[in-house]
Amino acid sequence: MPEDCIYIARSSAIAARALAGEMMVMNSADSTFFTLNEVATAIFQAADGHTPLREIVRNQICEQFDVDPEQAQADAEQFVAELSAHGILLVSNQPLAAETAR
Amino acid sequence: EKKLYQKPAFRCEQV
Repeated sequence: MPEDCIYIARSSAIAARALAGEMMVMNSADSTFFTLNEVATAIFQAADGHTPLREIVRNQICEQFDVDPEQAQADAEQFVAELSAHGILLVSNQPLAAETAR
Repeated sequence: EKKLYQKPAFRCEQV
């Protein structure tokens, strides 16, 4: 999947709450509970299904954190793939409808 | 003013 075309959205099978800068995510499908760190939380919160991942990295991660853009992009792609494998994020090369409220 | 970057990561637990 070309990196410019990665769109991410939150799954409908989850409940999420932010606490002290970290996001707590509960997956009701398999009763797993995830705690995201601050950078992961920023990506998760920006997962509206319409904003390309590269744009999220550029406008959110690189603006808030002291990081090389290419490094941030590579890390974000790996993170998104892992969270997608757990059913927390939906990933597509086309815009998606975000299924849960932010 | 930018915050210290940490690689995006998560901790997974079974409920």
